[in-house]
Amino acid sequence: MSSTVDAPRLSGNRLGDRLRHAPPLSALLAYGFLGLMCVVAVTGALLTPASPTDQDLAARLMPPFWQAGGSLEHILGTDQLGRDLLSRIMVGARTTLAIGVATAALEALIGVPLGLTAGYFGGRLERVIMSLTDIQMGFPAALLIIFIVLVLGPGPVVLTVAMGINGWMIFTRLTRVTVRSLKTSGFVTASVVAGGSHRFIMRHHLMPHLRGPLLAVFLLEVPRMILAESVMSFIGLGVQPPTISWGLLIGGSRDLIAVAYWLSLFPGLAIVFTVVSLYLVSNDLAARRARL
Amino acid sequence: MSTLPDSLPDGARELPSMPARLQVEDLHVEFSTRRGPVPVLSGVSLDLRPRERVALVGESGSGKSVTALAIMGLLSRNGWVSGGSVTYAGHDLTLLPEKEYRKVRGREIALIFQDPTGSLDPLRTVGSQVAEAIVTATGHRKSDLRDQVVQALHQMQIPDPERRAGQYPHELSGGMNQRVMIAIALAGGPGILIADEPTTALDATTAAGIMDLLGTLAHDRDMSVLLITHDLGVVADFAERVELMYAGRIVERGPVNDIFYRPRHPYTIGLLGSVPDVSGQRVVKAIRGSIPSLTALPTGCVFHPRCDRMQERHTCREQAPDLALISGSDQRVACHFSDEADREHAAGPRQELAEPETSRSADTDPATHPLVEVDDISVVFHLKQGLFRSGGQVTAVDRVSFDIERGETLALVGESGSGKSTTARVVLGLQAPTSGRVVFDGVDLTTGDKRFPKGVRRRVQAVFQDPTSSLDPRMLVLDIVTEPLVVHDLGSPAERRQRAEEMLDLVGLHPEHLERKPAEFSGGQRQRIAIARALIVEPDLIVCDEPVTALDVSVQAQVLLMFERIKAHRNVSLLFIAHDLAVVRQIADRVAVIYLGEIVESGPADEVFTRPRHPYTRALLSAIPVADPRRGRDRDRIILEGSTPSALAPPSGCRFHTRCWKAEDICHTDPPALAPHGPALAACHFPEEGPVHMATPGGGSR
Amino acid sequence: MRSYLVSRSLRMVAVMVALIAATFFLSRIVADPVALTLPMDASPADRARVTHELGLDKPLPEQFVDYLGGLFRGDLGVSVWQRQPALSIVLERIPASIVLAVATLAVSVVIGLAIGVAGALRPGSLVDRVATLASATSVAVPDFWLGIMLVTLFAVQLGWVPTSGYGSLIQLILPVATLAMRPIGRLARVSREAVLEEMGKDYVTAARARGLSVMSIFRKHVFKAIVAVAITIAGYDFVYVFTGHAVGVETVFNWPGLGQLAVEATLRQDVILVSAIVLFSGLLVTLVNTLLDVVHAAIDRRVTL
Repeated sequence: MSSTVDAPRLSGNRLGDRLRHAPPLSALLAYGFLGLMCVVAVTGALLTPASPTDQDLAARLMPPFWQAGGSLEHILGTDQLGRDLLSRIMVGARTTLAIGVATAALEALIGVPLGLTAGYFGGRLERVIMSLTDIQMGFPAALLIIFIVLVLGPGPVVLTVAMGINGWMIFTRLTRVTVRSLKTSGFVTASVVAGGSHRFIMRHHLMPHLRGPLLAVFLLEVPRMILAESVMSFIGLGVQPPTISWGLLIGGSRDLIAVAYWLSLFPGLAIVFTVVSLYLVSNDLAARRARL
Repeated sequence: MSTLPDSLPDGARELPSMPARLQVEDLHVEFSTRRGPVPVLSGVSLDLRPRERVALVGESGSGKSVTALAIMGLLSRNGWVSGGSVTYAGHDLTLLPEKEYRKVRGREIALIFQDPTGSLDPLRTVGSQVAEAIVTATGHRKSDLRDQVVQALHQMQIPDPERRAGQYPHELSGGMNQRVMIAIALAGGPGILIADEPTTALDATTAAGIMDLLGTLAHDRDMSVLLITHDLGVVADFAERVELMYAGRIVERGPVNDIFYRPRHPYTIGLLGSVPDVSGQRVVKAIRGSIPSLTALPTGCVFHPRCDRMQERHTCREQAPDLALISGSDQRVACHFSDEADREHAAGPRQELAEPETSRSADTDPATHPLVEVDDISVVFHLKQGLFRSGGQVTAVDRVSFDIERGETLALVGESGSGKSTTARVVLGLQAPTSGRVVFDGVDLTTGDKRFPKGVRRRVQAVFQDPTSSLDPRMLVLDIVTEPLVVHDLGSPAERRQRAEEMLDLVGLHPEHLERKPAEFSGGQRQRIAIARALIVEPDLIVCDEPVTALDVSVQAQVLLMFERIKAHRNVSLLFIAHDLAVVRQIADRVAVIYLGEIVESGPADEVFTRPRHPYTRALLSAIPVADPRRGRDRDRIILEGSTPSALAPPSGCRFHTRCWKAEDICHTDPPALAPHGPALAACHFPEEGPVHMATPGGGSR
Repeated sequence: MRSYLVSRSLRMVAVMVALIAATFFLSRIVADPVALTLPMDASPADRARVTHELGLDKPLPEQFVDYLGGLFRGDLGVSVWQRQPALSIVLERIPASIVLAVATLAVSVVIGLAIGVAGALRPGSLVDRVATLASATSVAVPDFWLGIMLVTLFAVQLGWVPTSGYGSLIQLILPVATLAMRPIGRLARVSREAVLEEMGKDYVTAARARGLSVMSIFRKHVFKAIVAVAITIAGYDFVYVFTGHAVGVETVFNWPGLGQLAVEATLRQDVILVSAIVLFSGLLVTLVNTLLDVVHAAIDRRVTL
């Protein structure tokens, strides 16, 4: 050993580290639940215990199986037309998740390039982009979304576009702030001095550092958009029947709360569990990144 | 611990007449971390007698600040006292309930911190904060509170206290805020002041004024002062007694002269050798290795892995030494073999004088041009304020010119806001100058295009101040070091790897380090990696922007020596930016001193250091605390008034006239030109003639 | 400070102009106001007449000027659905929205701040942990669904409060409880973090070092910083109701606010009325946002630097 070198500062036992860094139980449950939701969303009607659309007027408004009058055939009960609620929730997962993910992706698609441009090149371009962002932030987003839906007509695609063009600002802001601080960081300056081109620096020094924060925000935007979609569908301005989404299920059973609470309760719980899971996963990923 | 039983009688013997005001005994502090509890203090004992000035000295991680917080009962939530006592006025403070403790804080023991601006409430005027401190201390609100505030600020030598009282902390300079902090801390009339790195965040000329003020206040108000610092120069100037800490322990204690002239612990000796000497009479000597992490402390004597005295003796590795009294002295040392210090002294580590060099400047061939010609560059920043109104402009660099020859090291020295880093950025092509040119080996680099021609880009590399930020935390050392090769598309991957291994070897690291990430290295090691990255393309010029400022003294010496070695063997030119003249003493061939964007003096290093022409250079030299009590206290002291003016509104005429003791009418109106005075250039109407009084070792004082 | 006021006002004007342009674009160009006004089987002659009446045969810039002129005169068009000036319909609904916004704001500020500060002063305690968990969950619950669940429980099952409606204090309880849940959670979390951050700063340690108690430091120094944060957040909540985010809750409780009006107008394809709602609340919200920023700047002078 040369005398000028000391041992690495923190040496630890690898297995111990791994155990210590395992996600907490809540995060594990969240990963599991989201995995399940993804499977359900992909398989659609293939795995449902019953048909989500077949009506059975003999079995109308059946309560969940544990209540008097319920049966194991319809675990979560049936609606006013005798359709199996669990199957409908499972099929609704596809619409709700797809709109959530697509909207967040659209936001990122608009917001990230703008933020990257503003943060990296600065100057007048940055001022223009940030003014745009400020202006958009000042808009009454929910009302504008309703307005756009009115003008273009309701439907999943219109909803996605309307929500996306009203929600990209967070990606712009985050990207710009991150890029700006990276740009003034020593290692990017060092790379410029070493002769790195814009492309080299973006690829080797900016993107690796942007990936984590962007993923975290993406994972927070998906649940926000799931919530937004559910309100819009609930008030009748989002997904239209016969397509099924969770918000729509709640909206469709609104008049029946006095007689069939389960029709509102379970789709709502599906939303809550999904949203909480996404939050937990985002937190867990952020915590892992902080440890690096 | 075994030091405890005999520490009391011995302590009494050391100075029998005066009982201690504050007594810390065998103090242990632990912090909880994700990896379990970590011992931060392991048996620290010290005492503070009335009117005594004690310095608690250590590098980062030594536990000196934690000691202060433990005394005040202000450890953060994850830290706790796990043993020992802090005795004040017959009470063990560590057992005091919070309510009682509050009566001690401020009224009996006061504390000031390193970052004065952060220590003040940003949302309230400084006057109201001083007022609050006075009301808290006296317990009632007098009608003349406003006068009291102004009076308190006046006593801290704050000019124009009426106006200052109405300002917010962010409107005041750091030095001014530190004076406000002192006023607040002293409002309760404490008998003890603990000053935790009070001048570390400040410029040298400002810091000298603060230390002076502390000395005066301590004397006038009968205060004991516990000065916590890493700066041995400040210690030599200020303290009567020194406690030297290393890895949570006190390793040596004694009167200031004994510590500086008869150090016995190998760490003390090494640390003193690491301090750059501004007189240029002693060369820097480094301690090897780096400060141990508190989570993985060495066994036995914590210093043994870095110790030259140990020589493979098992005792050091197995047994922790006690802080034992050296017979016939007031000195205590925690070393098994402290008696060997005398023999080492005979060999004379402190007597090592630099070779008397007649000329250290590089050989220059008059036929060719210099490597770098910086020709009359200015950098003007326009401040934006609002959409339409311009917020004025700052001339960060004002008509600066200098050349750097091949193989030469030019040191550019200035305090914060002097424009030295902006100049470095211009030379690096990171900042376009508003006017003037930079010519590198005959190629004009400032012809509009922001980016260098690639051929030049490779030949100019850089090392920056903060080694943590200058290495991409996600990359392997291999990728970091070879990045310049990759961007210039030089060599195959195998060749690059081999070059990287050679470079790591050159900077004292190992090939296996290539596979690690920056987080696994200490600050000094990271700076070595940055140096390896700069060297790998064999540049002709390395711009070093404060490369040792962020490092601990013992590590700083290692890196400085490495630069010297590189300079000697690689024929590379260095542009070395620093705020500290002492640091560049050993390495610079030529020195340029910059003040508010203008070069005020430049010339061969020996010339500038021994007979500085410009008053500012003199002040800067005198402001450097000398790690030598006798020389330090004997030397000419020039304490500048006020603080550096804002670059937004630079003074007319000579920019230094607002703080210059020689200024006359002409200085207010006519800016002096940089004119030759002997072998140096100086911009002053009334340049100094004689040599500066540096008080050579062994006397010769005026 | 003055230059901050100027630049902030300019930003406000920019947002307003952009908003007007957006509604103009959506209501006149993307949508076809003629088709929306007339029955499906209208004759070409009718179409031409209405086109002329609405001024849609003029060049676009001229249309925009007319549109702007209308705005300045307070003319937001005539609702196709209710055959009334859109502005008066909007103004009718304002009181209900204000009642909801103010009540929500008051409830959430009091409860949210209390929870946040209590947690921050004893981090890690049971109170803190429960509050942290609750505030984290609150943002995951769709408010309209929570409203339905509250109605089911308290109105349908227990019969303590009416299921819906507007006019009496008791009818306010459920909508406000539903709507305040999210602001309470957010305010609790933000104020907790703000207190913790502020209490960790050097000046707090410095204040403790001269013998001030934690409570008095909190009162004298930290509280001011927290108020600045709270104003921002609370203002955001106020604005929330006016930007249509309460639309789900208003629908559940049949609350005659702006959100519900927007939904009804949309379901009846009333472009004029919806664009009037968007403009009115958008301009109001922009004004409120500007005022909030100015108040914030007055408290924290560093903002204006």
